[in-house]
Amino acid sequence: MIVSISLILFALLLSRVSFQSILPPSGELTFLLGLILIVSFLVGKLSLKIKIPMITGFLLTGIFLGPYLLNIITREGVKNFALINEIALSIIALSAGGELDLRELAKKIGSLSTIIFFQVFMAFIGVGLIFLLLFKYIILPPIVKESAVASLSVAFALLMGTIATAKSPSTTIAIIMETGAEGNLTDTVLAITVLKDVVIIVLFTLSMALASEIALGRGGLDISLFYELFLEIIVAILIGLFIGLLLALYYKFVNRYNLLFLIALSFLISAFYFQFHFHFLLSCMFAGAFATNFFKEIREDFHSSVKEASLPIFIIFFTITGADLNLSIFKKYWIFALLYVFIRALMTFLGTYTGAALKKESREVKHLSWLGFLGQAGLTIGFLTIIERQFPSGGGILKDIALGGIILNQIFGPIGFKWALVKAGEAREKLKVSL
Amino acid sequence: MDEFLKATLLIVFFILFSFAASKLFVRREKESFLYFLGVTGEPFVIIGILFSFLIKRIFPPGKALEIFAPFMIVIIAFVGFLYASNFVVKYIRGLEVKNLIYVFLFFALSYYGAFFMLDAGLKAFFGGCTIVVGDLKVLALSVTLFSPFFLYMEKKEGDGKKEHSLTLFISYFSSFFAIIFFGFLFYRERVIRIETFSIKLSFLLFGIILLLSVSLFSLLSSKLKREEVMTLSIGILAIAGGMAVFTTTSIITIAAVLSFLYVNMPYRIKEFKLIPHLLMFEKPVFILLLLLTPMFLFKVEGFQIFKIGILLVFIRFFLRAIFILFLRVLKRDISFGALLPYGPLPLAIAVSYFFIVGEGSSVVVGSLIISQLLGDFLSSLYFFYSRKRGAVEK
Repeated sequence: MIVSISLILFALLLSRVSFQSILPPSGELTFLLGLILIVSFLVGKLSLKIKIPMITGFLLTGIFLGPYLLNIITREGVKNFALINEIALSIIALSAGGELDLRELAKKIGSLSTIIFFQVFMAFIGVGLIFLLLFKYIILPPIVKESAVASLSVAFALLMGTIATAKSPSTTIAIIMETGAEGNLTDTVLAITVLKDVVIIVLFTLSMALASEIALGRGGLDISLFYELFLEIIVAILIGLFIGLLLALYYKFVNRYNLLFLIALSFLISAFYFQFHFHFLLSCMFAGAFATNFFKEIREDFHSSVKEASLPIFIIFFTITGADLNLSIFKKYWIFALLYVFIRALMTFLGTYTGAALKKESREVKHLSWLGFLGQAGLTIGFLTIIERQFPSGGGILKDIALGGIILNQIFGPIGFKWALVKAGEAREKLKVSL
Repeated sequence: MDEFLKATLLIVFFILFSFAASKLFVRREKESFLYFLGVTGEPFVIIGILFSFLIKRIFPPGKALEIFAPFMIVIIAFVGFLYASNFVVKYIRGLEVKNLIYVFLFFALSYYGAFFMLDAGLKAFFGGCTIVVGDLKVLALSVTLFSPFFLYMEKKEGDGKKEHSLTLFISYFSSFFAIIFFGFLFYRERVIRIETFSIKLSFLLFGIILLLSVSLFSLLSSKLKREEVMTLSIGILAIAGGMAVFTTTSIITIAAVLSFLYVNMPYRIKEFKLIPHLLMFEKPVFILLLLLTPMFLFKVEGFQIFKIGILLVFIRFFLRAIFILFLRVLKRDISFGALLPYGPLPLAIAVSYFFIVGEGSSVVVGSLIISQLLGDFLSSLYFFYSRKRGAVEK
């Protein structure tokens, strides 16, 4: 702790003194990288002592070091880490896919799709309806024209409902790796996490089109939209298959410096994503699943290299995610954010329980698996940015409320999921400290 | 296609290509010329040069550096840290004083000999060369360095032989001195003249104390796992490297000092094995260093770096031959083969120099790349023929 505090003080001092170094950006970036790795690691270790997940410690470190509190990681700094962050996310998604056993998945597809359906349906309807009333009678009247309130309320409720269905795959995989969990609950949550991504992307695209039609009179649901959506998903899957093949071939024939290869591959995926904006999370998950299921001999090597890379990657990813969370937003709309979190959690529980009960899933899945779907991060924030851009009038408020909720979900979601895994007896105590 | 994407494709292609190439070299017959060439790391420098040419055509000036500099800072710090980790005082105490005198002799002969010979050689044979004193010092220092790849080979094959232990002893010490000397050389030259010297110095000291406390913490947590050890190490090295850039001091030296203090801490716990963990990353890190160093080459007159590079190889060869002859007079023998190869260390010093003086370091970086290519090629030839001859004699 003393080390962390002194490092933070030192960094604060450094950030206040302007150095005329020959290469300040690279020096600063390297220094920040080191600071994040050490301080977040130590805080993560400390958080384990009070029985909360390491990634919550990383997130809290990010919030404290970030631009909205200590400003050691400045906004510019967060931007500079964008590439490293995308690389980290690619590796996380690859490992999420790599954990899937397609044969097992096929056996449980009926049960999984029922749970996904009810989860999405309940969260969408529950959050959507409550926020329809809130937008119409409380939030929107003071800030938009009276004539626009009704249509905007419906549009925003639609989008808020969609946002409520989204979750963070990176949080789920990080907790599973941290606890070394194995078992029915773990497999179910992981499989739903991967499959639900496709559903969420489809739902968001449709909701955006519908909301634009209702509020702005443009967009609309025509056949070309479905065609584009279908094409996007097919492209993401094809890219995923290609990446998976590349991954498998490398592990099979070269199998040297696998960790560096994984980083290089993720770098490539991120660059493609920056250029073409495909659904890279989906692609990476497919890639991981394809490589480890169709080339079973590489499975062990793949998992060991992912495990080797996971700790620094999770540290960087979650610390930067934390640094990017704007706490002042929460201050402004905390009551709505709390309401959002509460209704979303309730609906997720009800949806998961209904789906699991209908398919006669185990007691653990029925009662505990909903906790694995609370965390929200990158994907949801991405959606909110698109919404804000599409609806300049009022879209910002929707974004702020949801972001406030995301802050809470991202802090408490991992704690809840870890608790669920321990409660279900699937967390391996020995592996608890190692990501 | 976007510039960034093109560059990324190139990077990934080159990294994959290099790894595949390294696999190819390893598969070669142990005594073949290609095998020895592969061990020196020379193919990676060639790939790095090609890569650097291509990437500089795509990226605007400075952009490529923006991407690679942070990686290189950590790599250089890693090299310094790893090198100095050989210096455990407990073992050094037990060594013969006579050997230490040989090291000083070797270091002094190599450094000062190379400095004056380079100066005189450049004036006498290549009058047109424009080179500053700082560059000359770094080039002279490179003559005192050794290749870790070949040291490893010597260590493995020369177990129990007295001459091999002397070779290793000289190699370790001379390289360590060079790294420390390099730091002091430029610390005095560059930093002391800067107005904010006291601030910089206090930051530097404060930073080292902090880093030490971090290392101490990690040492005391004896049950850390491998991934945790690696994460902390990368963090420590990144902070050390970042601070060195902030204060325009030598990255490699700060990392080496840190490593020296670390391995000699009285509280070392047996279970905590940082160095073996780091050694696992030695090869890939060295490969990345060799691949990326040509990126730090800027506008230089191609012919000039060729001239200096070739001259440097001959000076190095000449000075080492003198030293070996001197030892033979004293009836001590050292392995000639292990003294020849360059390896990645001179390039690490060159890049560290870049982070002190900026683009002005191009002459040094370029010359050392040329001398590395030529020197390692000749070393591989030497190894190949000497082993072949040995095999025939057997």
